[in-house]
Amino acid sequence: MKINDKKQRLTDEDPNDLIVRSLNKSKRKAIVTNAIATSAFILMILPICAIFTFIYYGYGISESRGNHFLKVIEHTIAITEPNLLVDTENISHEIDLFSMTGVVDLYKQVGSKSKLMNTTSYKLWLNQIDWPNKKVKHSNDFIHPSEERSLNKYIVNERLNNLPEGTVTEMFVSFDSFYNRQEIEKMFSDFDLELVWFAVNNGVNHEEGTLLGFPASTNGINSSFNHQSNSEQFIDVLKFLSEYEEWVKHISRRNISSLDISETLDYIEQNGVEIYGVVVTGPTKEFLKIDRLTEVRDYDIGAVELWDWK
Amino acid sequence: MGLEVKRKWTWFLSTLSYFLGFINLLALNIAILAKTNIFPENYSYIVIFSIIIGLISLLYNRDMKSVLGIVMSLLAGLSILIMLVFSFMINTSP
Repeated sequence: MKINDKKQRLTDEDPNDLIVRSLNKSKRKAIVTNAIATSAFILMILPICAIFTFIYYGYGISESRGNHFLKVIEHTIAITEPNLLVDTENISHEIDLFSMTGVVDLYKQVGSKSKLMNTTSYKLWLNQIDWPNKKVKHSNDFIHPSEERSLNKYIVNERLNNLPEGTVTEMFVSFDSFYNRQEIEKMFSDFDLELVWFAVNNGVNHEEGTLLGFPASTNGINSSFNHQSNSEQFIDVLKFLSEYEEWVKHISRRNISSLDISETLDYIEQNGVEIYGVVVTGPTKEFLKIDRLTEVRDYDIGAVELWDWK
Repeated sequence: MGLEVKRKWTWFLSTLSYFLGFINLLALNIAILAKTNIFPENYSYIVIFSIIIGLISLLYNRDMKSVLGIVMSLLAGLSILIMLVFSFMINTSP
């Protein structure tokens, strides 16, 4: 009955009205369909970009780009910043669209304990690293045996005399020649001091900004350097970093010409690990005795803290 | 009469599928932009439910709404899965 009424109404109406109504209905339907499709496609853009970013940084498990980036940060700081270590257990990362940020805690050992010095972040935009927003001094605290520089150990001795007894000091000690690790450990065996970082001759040049070395001890900080002999680990780290020279230059904030990992690696593989300086920590007054070591050319005070010794 | 019920049922399923997919994807977009996990604890069940609804809807009717619904639900599920798996893969513990 109802259908018959509807048919009757349709036949009574003007055919032009029917056409206009039908066209309007189709138009509305097309607009709705388009809106549905467009909104769906717009919403798909971000998740697709996010999927791409996560696969880009995470694919390869331990060999993934993201893991390599965090390892480069850790290794670069360990070999270019004297007595500064990254705790690998506390590295955090954040993945944004097409970028990844690594946030690291930097520890320094003065006395017997490692203290948190700073928290720094490094950002990677796809494969391009941003210049890190941190201030570093690039003055070389060590004197290379071939370098001619006025000695300041006499001023340092005066400072040490004036420092109170209940303090511990970080000292940058430079030698008159190159030594290996065992020789240096023997040299300092009579002192109540701890060796924390070795400066290694890289054979390239000794200008500002070419300081390279490796940690002597990690003092409980989780680092790649507490798994095997640190000299061997140093060479392994250089091999690894030679694949990421651009990242290393940015993280260490060294200019391109002053740091050549591949050349340094070639030199060290040919000549062995030649140490010309060491960072030592211990009771302040103990450092007054190191002047008697004939191998010690010069030394300079780094940080001084309140008594914290074994 | 049977045809009318089927038509309404199909319309309901495809609309529900599209709506669930849309909500999933919208929530995911907000989470990506806000860089925060806004999803409730059992959110994965909602995603699975919307995928199942999308599949059922696709069985009845292969119109654009059903196709978009299942595609959006699958994309939301895949995105969450990939984000979880790949962020666990980046771990530097020696």
